[in-house]
Amino acid sequence: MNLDPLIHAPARLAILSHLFVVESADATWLLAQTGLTWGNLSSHMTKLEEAKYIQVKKTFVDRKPTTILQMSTKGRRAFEAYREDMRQLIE
Amino acid sequence: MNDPLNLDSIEENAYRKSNLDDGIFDILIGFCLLLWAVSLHFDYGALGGIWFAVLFPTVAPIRKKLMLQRVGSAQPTPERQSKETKKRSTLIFTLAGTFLLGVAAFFLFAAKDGLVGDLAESMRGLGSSILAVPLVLISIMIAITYKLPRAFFYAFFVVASFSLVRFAETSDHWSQIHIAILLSAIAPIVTGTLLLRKYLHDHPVLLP
Repeated sequence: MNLDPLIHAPARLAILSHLFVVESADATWLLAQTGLTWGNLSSHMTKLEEAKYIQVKKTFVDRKPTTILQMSTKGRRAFEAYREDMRQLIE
Repeated sequence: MNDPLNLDSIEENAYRKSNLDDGIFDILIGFCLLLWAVSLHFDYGALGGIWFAVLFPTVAPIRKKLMLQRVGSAQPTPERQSKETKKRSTLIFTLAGTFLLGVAAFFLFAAKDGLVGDLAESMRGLGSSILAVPLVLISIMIAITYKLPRAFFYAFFVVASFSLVRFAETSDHWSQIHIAILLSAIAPIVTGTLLLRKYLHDHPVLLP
């Protein structure tokens, strides 16, 4: 069985599983929820964005720069497929 | 880190972390009770409801001000939003139902003395303690609906406060009611403050 290597990395799995349960979230929320560092999150974010699994939007909230992340439809499908593969592997 | 494949648990933990674990809600409830007690002391008991109505909308801005740079924010899914709306509606309907039942009971038993005089007498005997019932009910409802065990402790504290005042009082039950409510406010204020302190310590400002 071929598990999606892009999702299988623990940090990216944590990012995607948290983004999966919300509509969108800012980077601070992801940092607080996953316990990753800024550098770590940033590098994984880039990889996931390049694969079009997530969409990253830079915006301003109360005049402060904010990074908003949202899982794309492609990302959701890939994540669901990954979960299914894992389930089958465990069973 | 949560189990990355248990999405229900991730969603629940994320929701709790953003809405229930910081103690702000507890402090607010405590302050509402405190202000209600003060209003009662000055014979403006009806202001109790106004304090709740005025202070509750402040939760979101206070939380945003204190927490945005620490834990960020997330937009919940429409499913989650509808789940929360259902929970809130259940809570409000139960409270409204309890209130209406209370009013009905009052008119049925207390107002019609001749009909069921003994029951009316025993209800009067309960005096101010009867007010503990909705407070306890609200706490228990919150504990069950939001899976928040500390709300059971608040319910217990309300019972303890009203019992204490009832056993200590010498004259009219109603003249001491503000003390019972004041004591009831201590538990959520102290617990909320401790939770908030821990939360702020555990979640430093993350924005670079």
